[in-house]
Amino acid sequence: MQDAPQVNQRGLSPAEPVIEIEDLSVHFALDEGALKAVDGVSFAIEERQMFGLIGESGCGKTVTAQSLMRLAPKPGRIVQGQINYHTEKGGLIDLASVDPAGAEIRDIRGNEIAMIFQEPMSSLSPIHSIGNQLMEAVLLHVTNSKREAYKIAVEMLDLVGIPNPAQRMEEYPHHFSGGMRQRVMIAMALSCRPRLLIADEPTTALDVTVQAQILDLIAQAQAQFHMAVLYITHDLGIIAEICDEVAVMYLGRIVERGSVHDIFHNPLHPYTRRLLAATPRIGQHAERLQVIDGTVPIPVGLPHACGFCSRCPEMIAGTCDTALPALVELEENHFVRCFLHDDRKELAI
Amino acid sequence: MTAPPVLKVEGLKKYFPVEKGFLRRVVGQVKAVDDVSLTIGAGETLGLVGESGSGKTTIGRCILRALDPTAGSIQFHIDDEKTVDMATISKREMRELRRYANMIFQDPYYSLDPRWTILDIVGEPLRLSKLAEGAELEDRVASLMDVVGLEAKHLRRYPHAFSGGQRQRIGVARALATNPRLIIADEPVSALDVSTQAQILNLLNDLQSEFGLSYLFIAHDLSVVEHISDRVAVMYVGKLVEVAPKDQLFFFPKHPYTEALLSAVPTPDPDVEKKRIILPGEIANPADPPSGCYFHPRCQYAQDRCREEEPALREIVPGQWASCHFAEELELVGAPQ
Repeated sequence: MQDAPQVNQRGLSPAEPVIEIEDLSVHFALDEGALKAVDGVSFAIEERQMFGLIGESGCGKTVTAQSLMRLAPKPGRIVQGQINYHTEKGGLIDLASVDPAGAEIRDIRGNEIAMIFQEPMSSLSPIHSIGNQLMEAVLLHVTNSKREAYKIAVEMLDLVGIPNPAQRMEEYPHHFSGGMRQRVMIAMALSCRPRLLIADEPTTALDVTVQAQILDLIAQAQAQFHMAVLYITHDLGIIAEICDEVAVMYLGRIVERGSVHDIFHNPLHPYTRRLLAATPRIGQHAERLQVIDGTVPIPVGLPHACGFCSRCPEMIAGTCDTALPALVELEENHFVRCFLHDDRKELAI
Repeated sequence: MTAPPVLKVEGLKKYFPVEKGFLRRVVGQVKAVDDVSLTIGAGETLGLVGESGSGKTTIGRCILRALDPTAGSIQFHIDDEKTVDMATISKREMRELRRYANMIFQDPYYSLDPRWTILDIVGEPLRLSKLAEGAELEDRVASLMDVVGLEAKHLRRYPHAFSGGQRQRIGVARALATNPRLIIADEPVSALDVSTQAQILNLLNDLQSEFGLSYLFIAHDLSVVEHISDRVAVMYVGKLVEVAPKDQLFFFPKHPYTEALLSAVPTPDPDVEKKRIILPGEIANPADPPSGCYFHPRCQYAQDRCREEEPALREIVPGQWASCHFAEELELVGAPQ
């Protein structure tokens, strides 16, 4: 019953990718048709890299992240593509083809790949003590000794800056403030020394000074544990401050991908440019903000065309609305999916 | 002589009792708003920033008497003949004044009744103030829809048929229905995406110039506040710590808390080098605030005097008020220019 994982023995040098996502599509079968939440997404994250995934609500960034852990909610299904994960032992496993409830993914999930979520209150159990929740993952993946698990849990709480960690182990989530809960979530995620940390809007519910504390903590943890981080957010400011590489998503597809410098100083896709222009900046002194007209369409039964064409002022009638542009590398490591820059098409399958 | 301010709040306090035990004995007070004074001029936008729990929403709710203030006065200038103290008037008088001051809420999903049509929702303040009914009401609502950029033919639809940004436009139309002078906008864009947020901010700007509205704009996102405000007030644990014209406050802050807030705002430019001030600990508990300056346990400049003596909010340079003992001496860093 077990799928044999594709194993490829090789040692990892520092710049090796930890995870390579190839042409991933996740569809939700609805009565109205297939909702294409993620539609042909490809990117790779290298060791020690902070990879930012940015987009507005409904663009598929969270479903992408959930799919990496095989946690996409029903009726979401991976319909094509690969998620090639380089395991700690040097093997290669396609997470897209493993059983989402099987032993292989359970061995990786929460252990080698850990995740922190937006709302720390709903990600913690209200009826178990912080200590019990922290020790659960450690007992599952790291050690069988309760004494040792306790020690690791206290160490982790201390590491994420929670005062009196031994005492706080006995307390419950409602005793903690929002920022403290997010610290507990990070402690939990780090307790098994993950190689890839997926952070899905971890600071959206937090105040700006607490956000600064949490961003600082994630950066420190990354340096200390040499983790790769997939950071998902809608906040361009956070991306600019912490990420190395960025992918911009719109309607389930990556429309632009490149270094953080390229995305902010040489944005090529009309959506990226308008997203940057719509963001208020301190000291900008603009009377009006640039807006993107209209709203994001629902990705059900849309034509095989550029998803942004209905809102794009630079739309070429007869081209953009009839074919899907391919994601093309225009400059070194700068990919754009737009007919304004390249006329290569992506064919429908 | 300039026009008198639309709103003049003086010494506003709102304490919530802390009750304990079966007999609900009062064992303490949560000073959610503690001695706050502010003014909003005609056609002016005052931004009110602060972290969750700092009391900014409570101020907004006290001004509209959704909560009864514990102490203080709220002078509301209705027209040249009439100024009322909204802190002391009766509920009945307040009902008549509601048409002059309205509110826009944060969540466009929870603030609209799903069983009401848009006509019901936007028309309700008109009905309650007995300003219009029947066909006249419908005409008025249709023209309001036009003002906020929605199609009048959708009047009989229900909120679920609209997107988040459109719902917030409905909320704006409802707030505008009675031609108010003052609108209290409590985090009106924080639930929206960047592109929709820009649409609503532009709409609020347009409406202000068209109708001469005054806004109290409550938000935690400093970039948004900087964009829309004329002056900005910063709150910390129920008190104002700094009030100033926005450029003064953002580029030449006089309170260490303002400095820390500004340093924490992520800048959407990867080449801007800046030092984030990481504040130690957490925001003080308003039921048990620290001695002296409430901010001193987290302040990198704190000295003995800050632990003992509570600083008053005073004018440091013309128009810029701060409550810090060392406001003149400290050289604080503003937002990157």
